[in-house]
Amino acid sequence: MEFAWTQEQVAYRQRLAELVRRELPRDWWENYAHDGPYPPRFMQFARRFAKVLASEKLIVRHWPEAYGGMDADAWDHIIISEEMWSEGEPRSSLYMGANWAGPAIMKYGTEEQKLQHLQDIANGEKLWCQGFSEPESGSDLASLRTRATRQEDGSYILNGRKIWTSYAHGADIMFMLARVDGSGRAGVTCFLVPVRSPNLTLRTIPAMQSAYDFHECSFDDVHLPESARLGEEGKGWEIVRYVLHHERVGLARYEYAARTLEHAVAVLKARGEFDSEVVQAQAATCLAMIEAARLLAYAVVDARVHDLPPSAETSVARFAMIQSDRAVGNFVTSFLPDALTEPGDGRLRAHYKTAITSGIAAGAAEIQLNLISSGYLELPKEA
Amino acid sequence: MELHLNETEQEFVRAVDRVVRGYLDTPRKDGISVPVHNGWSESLDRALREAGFYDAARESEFGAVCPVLLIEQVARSPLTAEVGASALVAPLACDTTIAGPIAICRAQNLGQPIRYLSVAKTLLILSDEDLLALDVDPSMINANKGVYAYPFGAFAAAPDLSSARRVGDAARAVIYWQIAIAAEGAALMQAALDYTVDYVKNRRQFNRPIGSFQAVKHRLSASATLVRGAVWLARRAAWSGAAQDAAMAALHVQQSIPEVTYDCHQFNGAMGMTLECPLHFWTHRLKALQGELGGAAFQARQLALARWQPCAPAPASASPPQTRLSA
Repeated sequence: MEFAWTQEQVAYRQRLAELVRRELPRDWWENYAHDGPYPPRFMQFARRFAKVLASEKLIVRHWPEAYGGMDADAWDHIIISEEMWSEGEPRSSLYMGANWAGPAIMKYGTEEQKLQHLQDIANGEKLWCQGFSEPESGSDLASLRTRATRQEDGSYILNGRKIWTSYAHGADIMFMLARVDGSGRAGVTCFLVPVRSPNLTLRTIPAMQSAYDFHECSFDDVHLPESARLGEEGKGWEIVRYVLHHERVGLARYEYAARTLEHAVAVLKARGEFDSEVVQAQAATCLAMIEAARLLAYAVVDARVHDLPPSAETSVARFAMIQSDRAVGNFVTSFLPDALTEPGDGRLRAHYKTAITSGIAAGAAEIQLNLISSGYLELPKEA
Repeated sequence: MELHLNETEQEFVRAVDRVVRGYLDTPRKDGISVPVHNGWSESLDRALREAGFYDAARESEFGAVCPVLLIEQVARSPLTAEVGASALVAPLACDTTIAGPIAICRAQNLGQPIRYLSVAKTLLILSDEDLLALDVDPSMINANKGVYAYPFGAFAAAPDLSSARRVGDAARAVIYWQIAIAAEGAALMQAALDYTVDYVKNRRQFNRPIGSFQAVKHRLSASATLVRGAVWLARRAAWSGAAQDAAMAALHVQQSIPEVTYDCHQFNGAMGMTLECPLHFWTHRLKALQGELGGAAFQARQLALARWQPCAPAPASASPPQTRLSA
């Protein structure tokens, strides 16, 4: 058993940290605190930042060389996730392409789709968004109603609505699910849809964390060629499971929580307010929760490095991340309440706003508990 | 980073398992667990010592991770052997060989019941900056019939420390004591959880297993998350031997014990309250560990000291927010 990073991994992390320090605008956190990483100017920055990353071949190092990667292992992948998430994910939704859309296309896509999309992701050309949830299908994703009707020429007509879609206004392609036929998981099919397709309209929904995060996407007779379908008809659920397994630990929220905690402690020390043993104990509790979540995430990465199949340990890690993120949010609210008012402290305000979404994004906390109980504890299904 | 057990560690676990396997049954009479107040098994303790497992930490090929794996395996048993102090603290914090079983305490706690003192040959005492070793005279010890399923003992009269010898550094002993608490606590929680999960799969009420109710599932899943995190923190602390990691691992375990223990008993219902149900073999020990070495308050303080040096000046980069409600 070995918990140390190699010299190469340490150097890689330093390189990323320096790059982020160099590229991020000085007022990054102040702007981030106002509306999160979603406003148009952030998405525009992400496109410029993506070009910098691409020029240094830093977007998809964990992909096979054949698709523009460097055959780096999953540890490499988690390092970039930590360095980006801890600084507010300046890649914006570029990470979706690198983390799971690209790998899903490699696994399930046609050669034409691989040619069309993978190089674009590796070069930082396209930003992605995820069209899963619907107004009547949130956690119960398999009940989705958006329908893809197959035409005689093999193309599809899409009708329905998607909701809570992050990054939609600034993204190029939506990785979305629709029902071709059947009910429940059967019939769910995956499509890669240009966001600017005719008859696809977006509505921004103001939310607590940002005026620009949530979107409702309406599909009114959106025409898609057959080549937009990823995988076979009815194989969408299998693809979703693959995608979510990658997404749930691909977001290194524990590192974001860790650096927020360190920043909060530094502020408290600077004010002379870290002498209280109560404050110290609360900070220590947060730190222990964060590090437990980190090691649980690392256990998942380690399994991936060893080519073990996805397991419910992903949900164990994800639930621990949620708990630690919440703990840090509560720590800041308890001991630095004034830092959360405007103008306050940008980094602390930014974390406060996103921490509340932690238990909802990428699969609700309660869904993670369901998955742990069935896949890890193997408890019986409800009657 | 390599979180799978290497071949040496796997072989070590298999060898320990061959011994522990004979001690997984609870003491029974007529098919029912026999109520006991103390799970001490001299036979298990002797078998582990004679097999040489307690010397692993002194071997470079094993290091401190193997003693933690040993603690994990032994904690599966409802019976108790003294492992933490003999396999982890003594080999890694003492300058000389210490006769076991070993009890360990802080100097300010000498007047209180001490875990393993009633069966110990040596007592390790954390005294200011020194780690002292005192040979235990059994005639000076009153066995304590408590509720913790460990063999507790107390001095009949204040011990004479003039015969105690310095064997190491107290700060180093704290680190390995914390790791021992963390490893044993995590493993005991895992054993209690395993027992409970098995129970709720089979116990039927309202014509269905009680483990099929979401209220039960969610709480056990949350407990499983705490337990798995605790296991990894203990392993990393053993690997690094760092004060920060050790305090963190012990803190997380001691803060998780109340929640996990409560839920395990809750879902075993009234049966789990009885001494005929083996659950108490693990949960009684967990309750003892919850307050060991000053409990979570002490570990939190140690972690804060190691991580943030609260008395040190803040780095210049930490500028306070521009507005304050109190301003």
